[in-house]
Amino acid sequence: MIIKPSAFIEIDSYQYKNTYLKLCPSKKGKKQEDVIFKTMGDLFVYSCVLGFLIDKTIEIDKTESVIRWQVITPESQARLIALAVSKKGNIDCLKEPDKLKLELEIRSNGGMHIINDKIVNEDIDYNSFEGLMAELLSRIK
Amino acid sequence: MIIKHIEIENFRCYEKQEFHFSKGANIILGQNNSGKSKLFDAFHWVLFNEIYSTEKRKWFATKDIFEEIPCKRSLKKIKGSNLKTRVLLKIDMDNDSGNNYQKLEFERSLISKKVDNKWETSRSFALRVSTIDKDTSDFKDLYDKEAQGKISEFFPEKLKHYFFFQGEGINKLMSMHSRSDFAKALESLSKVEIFKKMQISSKKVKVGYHDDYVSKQSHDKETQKKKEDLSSDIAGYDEDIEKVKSNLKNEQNELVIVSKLKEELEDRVLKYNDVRDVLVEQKEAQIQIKRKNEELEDYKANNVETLINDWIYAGTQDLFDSFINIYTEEKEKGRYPEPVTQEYINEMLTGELCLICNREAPKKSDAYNHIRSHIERASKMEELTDYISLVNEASHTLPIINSLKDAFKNYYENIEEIENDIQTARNILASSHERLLSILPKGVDKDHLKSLNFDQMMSDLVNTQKEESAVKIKIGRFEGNLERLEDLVKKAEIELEEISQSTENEIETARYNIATAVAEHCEDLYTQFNNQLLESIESTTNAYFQDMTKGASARPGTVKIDYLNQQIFTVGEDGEKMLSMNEGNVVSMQIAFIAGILSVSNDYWNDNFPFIADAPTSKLGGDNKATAVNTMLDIFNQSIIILKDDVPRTDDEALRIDPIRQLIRDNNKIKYGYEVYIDKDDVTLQHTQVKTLKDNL
Repeated sequence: MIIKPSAFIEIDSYQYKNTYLKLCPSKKGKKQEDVIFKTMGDLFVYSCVLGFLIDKTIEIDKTESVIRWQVITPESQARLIALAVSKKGNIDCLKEPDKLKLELEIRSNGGMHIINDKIVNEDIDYNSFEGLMAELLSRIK
Repeated sequence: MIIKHIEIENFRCYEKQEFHFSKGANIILGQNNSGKSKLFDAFHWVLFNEIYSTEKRKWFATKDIFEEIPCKRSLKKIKGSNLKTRVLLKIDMDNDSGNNYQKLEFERSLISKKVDNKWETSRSFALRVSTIDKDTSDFKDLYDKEAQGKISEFFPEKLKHYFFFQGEGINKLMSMHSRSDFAKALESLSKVEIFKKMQISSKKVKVGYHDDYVSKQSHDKETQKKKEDLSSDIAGYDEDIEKVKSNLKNEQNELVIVSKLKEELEDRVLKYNDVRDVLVEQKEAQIQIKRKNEELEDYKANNVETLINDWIYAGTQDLFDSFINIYTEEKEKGRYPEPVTQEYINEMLTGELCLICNREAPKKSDAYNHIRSHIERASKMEELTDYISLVNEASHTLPIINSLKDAFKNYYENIEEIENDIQTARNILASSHERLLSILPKGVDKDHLKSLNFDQMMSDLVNTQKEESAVKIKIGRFEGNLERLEDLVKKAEIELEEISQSTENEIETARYNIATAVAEHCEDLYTQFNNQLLESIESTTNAYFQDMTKGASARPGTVKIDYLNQQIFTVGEDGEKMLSMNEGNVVSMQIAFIAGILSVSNDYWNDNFPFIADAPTSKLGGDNKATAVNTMLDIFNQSIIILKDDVPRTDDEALRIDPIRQLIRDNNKIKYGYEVYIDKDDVTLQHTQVKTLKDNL
């Protein structure tokens, strides 16, 4: 395993409170049936892909350790790492799991900023299937 | 006779109102609950001491409904402790009428008293009839019973529902069973009592003489014994016949009731048939909308997982391509561990042969050592596995991402298809809603429809049809028994007759023969009179009907009154019964029938009855109503027609073009026109106001 399954993925504390808790189910917040991202891991993967796609990284100031690497499906793990390798331009990063994890975290944080921007400025509803589909369609020419 | 005037005081919703009428037509218009039927009540109360309860659909005598007669508003407003409810009706007699009066006045009144601050209304009324002699102009007052007797002279009780006609009760008036209003009217017109008395008396005489004739003692003992036995048999059969006849009559009465109920239920089912079809269509459309919405939600929900797992990689194909290139380059540079397993390396070392380049690799040679170096790198197998899984996943992901365009297209096509189905069902729902409004029977709103149980309706009809069949079977059985018994009686009577003829009873025979001839003659007279009367009603009805339906859009046919089979219907040119009639022709036939009876009554009583009608055309609206009213104007010597006003009082334009108001304005045969309406200042104490629309004076 490149990244230890039990390793925590660090996410930005601000993003956790302002976005993760709004778009993902939680004990006091939304129910599973009301959201598209059924786990925080799902949102992490989505934001990470966006970070790679838009090529945006943002360092995390204050971290929140709530997602373990193992909650992300093996397919998604492989795909995220492949994207990271793609961005780095070589496979050296594979030998440094911590750096690799950090790369994914800052990509995700970059993606989360884009998501927040779209929520505020474009009024995209990430809790609806249509909202998300509209976003994905815009990526396909 | 001409009703000139009615004065209503403190009666139901009337505080104090007067209406003037004249020969020809007089029309009163009013919205629902404006007091128009209470005006009809006033006529009925003053003459017949009856008030109609709309709720119970029944007429009640003063003693049973006395508390509802005084005007509530008057009771509240009056300062004293006595209130007199009074209706006064003034009538002018025609010069050529068959009586000696010039004018008549009828007044019925009722007193309410305040006791301990509570109003108590008397159950009894006062009645006065005043007459003015045609020749001497002498004035005479009659009271109570004597007055009531005088009213019966001018307004025969059994005809009252024909000249005081209520549109709502038309079916009852057209019914022809033995206890129907029509049968009573015929009795009243034909003075059938006289014929019946003649019939009964002559029959009694005949039976008495027949008894004498057959009971004459025979000298021969055996013959006498046989006669007595036969008489006793006949008496026994007669007794049985009476029982069977009574049962038969009960069942026939039951059949009338059940058949009427069946017809009503059939009408109801027919009336709601189309409505039911539309409601079924609506329900199916609603189910389809619900099902398709669920399908849409399910389809989206089922795609959420695909969206989260695969579709979110939309646009990343360049990155995955780049990854594959990096992998290939790294592999070419040898930086990437070869996917060689440990067993494979051991096999090469044991065989001293490189299985990759197929060259010999003897021990200690460079090639051998090179192969060995891979053993050292065995610890990297795990790393290798990770690498391989990355490459595999990237290779697997790329075609998915490349096919996303098609996947999205497919997704939206499916969504569009389901949404189209939903829209189609919505369109069906909307059009069936429109259709429902157009076919909804009058007076039935959507709330009422919700309370209707169509299955129950059908099951009621089927049960009633079964009940009718059962009663018919019973009737058939009784008729069979009756026939058998009558046959037995006939045989016994023939035998008795034969024996009696051989007895020495010449005088008795002669008396009996005379009595038989008289009884038969009385029977013939009765039948003949009744038939003439029916023919007369039928031909007059027909004349009116033809006149009324002249130029009608639907084929009117000819009216037939089949009294024997208790029905009135129309036949076409082929003489066959017409199975369906349009609403306009049905109303025309009903009015013509009522007019036919009144016309024959006028001839019989040598007077012209006025025709007072409450909502006679309730089934018609707009121009059809105006046409029907127009045709009524020519028929009656005097008509007072009370109609439901279809136009809102506040809509000036609608009032201006209202066909009924135009008719009142423009037709010279209409002498007086009134509009009754409710003063809405206190809805619990409503009272009727009157506006004169036309006054020929």
